Amino acid sequence: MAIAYMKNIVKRYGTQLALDNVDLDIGNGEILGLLGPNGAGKTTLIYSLAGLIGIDSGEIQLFDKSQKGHMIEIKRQIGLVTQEISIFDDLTARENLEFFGGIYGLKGKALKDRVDETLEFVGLSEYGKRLPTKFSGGMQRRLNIACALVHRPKFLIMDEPTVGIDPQSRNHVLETVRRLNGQGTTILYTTHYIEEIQAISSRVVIMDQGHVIAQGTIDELVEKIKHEEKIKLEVAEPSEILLEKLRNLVGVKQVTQIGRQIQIISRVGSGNLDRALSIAKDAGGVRSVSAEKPTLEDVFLTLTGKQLRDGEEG
Amino acid sequence: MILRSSYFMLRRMLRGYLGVVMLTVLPLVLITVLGMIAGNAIDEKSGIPMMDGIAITMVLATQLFGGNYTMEYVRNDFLSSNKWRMASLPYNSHTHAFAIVLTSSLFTALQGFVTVLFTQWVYGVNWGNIGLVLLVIMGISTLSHLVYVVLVLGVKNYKTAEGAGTWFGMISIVLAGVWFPMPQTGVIGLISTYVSPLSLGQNAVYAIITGEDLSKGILSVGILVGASLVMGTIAVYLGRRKLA
Ligand SMILES: Nc1ncnc2c1ncn2[C@@H]1O[C@H](COP(=O)(O)OP(=O)(O)OP(=O)(O)O)[C@@H](O)[C@H]1O
Ligand SMILES: [Mg+2]
Repeated sequence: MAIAYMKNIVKRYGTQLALDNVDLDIGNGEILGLLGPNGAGKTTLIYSLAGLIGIDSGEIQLFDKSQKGHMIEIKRQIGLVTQEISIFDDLTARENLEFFGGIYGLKGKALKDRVDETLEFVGLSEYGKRLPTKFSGGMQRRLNIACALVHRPKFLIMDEPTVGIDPQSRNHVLETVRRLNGQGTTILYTTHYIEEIQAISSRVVIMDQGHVIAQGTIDELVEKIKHEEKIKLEVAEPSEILLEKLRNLVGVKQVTQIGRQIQIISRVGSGNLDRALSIAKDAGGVRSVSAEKPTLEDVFLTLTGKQLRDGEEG
Repeated sequence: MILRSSYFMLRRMLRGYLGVVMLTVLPLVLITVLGMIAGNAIDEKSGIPMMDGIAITMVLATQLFGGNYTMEYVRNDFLSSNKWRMASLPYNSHTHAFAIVLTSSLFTALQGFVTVLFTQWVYGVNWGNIGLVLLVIMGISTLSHLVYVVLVLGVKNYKTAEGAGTWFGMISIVLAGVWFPMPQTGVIGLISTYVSPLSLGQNAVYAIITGEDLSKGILSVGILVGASLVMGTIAVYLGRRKLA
């Protein structure tokens, strides 16, 4: 059963097409990963889903209701974790949660208990009385999440909740997402970190330039490119001539180079591992070699022809 | 909902030390320094001690800048990235905007009132009927906050809006003849007496203290209220457009 769906969504900013006929289903109880590089349209998709911006055409339903005329009702059951931290700097962590909780009608002891629980949930129990300005980036992110949780939404939408935080805080966030999902919350999780998607998602939607270019479980997506293998060579003297020779091999789809590392995507069973090795040996020598099964990252690379994060390793 | 939101607004304002310094400490310091210079002199024109005149002008002039609170909170909650979270809540943005204006204007009026009490107790300034003075302060405060809301919603660039707010305060002060005397006759005299919110407040407070020129005082309060209604209407119109 779908908790939300979007059909043929088109959204333009001026002449720029930010969402180009996007279709999306979010099943009740799942963690759907929404993956895409900068500018893919993830935030635009989320804002239209949450009814924060108008769309040019298409249809959106949440909890079996269309947005029109039901927005308040829908909003009561949604939690939005914004990409940019949106908390009140001049209210303590606890007061922030009290403010947001109150808007959803919580009051008195029920509100107090819920605030305690939520602080505990994101690991900020000891910091309730402090102002977020005194928080580390990771703690602010966690409070940002807590503010969207205090009313226990059925559907939590998270827009890159781990941007720019330390690994420990990131793991904490991922763990929080898993626990919430365990309690029955449906989650739409946006990121451009593939590892996060692999760690928590049951299903993935990949977006690029306003299009949904693939969706399915991680296995399904990897299956799509199972006829490919990935060869990684570390060579002594990388050169344009060497790369060109590798590209010209029959069955090679893509050759990328970072420093001494060369990555070759090639058809399975093409025998290109041997050929690539001997070409590289002749061109100055090979320091190491490995062949791997494709990962989600390779799916992305194959589908879009680009790395997820420009100029960033990892 | 208004009450709840106002409660949180108040908490936020109480943490804004800078605002308290600008709107309470600074005028008190100025009153003290200028008052020491004035000594026990009596202002010939109004017939009240110079010290009292200084206190009245400072307290009222400060209110003209109180709208900065409103401006800052409207920006923070509605015009920065926070707006997306606010928009995602089952919560009417007009309610929140109203809570901001209401709480900010009461809070700045309260700061003015603290200054009034302080000058009365410590410097013996005669404020006449303090309750009526509070009402006048609230009148100017409300007008000021509404002017700043209109600016922040109506002017695209925040810095420009902020600058325009400061100009509003400064021009009001100049028009009231605080920096240099304004001619008291003809059109300019009329503008100086009935256009600057500061003069309107001064007219009213002088009437309260001396019991003279009552009709001038009442007319001034009337203009203050009228101007607030006009500004309020524009603010609501802009709010409906910008905070939908
Ligand atoms: N308010 C706006 N006005 C004009 N163009 C916009 C606006 N918001 C987004 N865009 C454009 O729409 C496209 C999609 O932007 P969006 O923010 O949805 O991408 P994203 O996938 O969330 O990217 P990121 O990973 O950087 O957050 C981008 O090209 C962006 O420049
Ligand atoms: Mg985004």
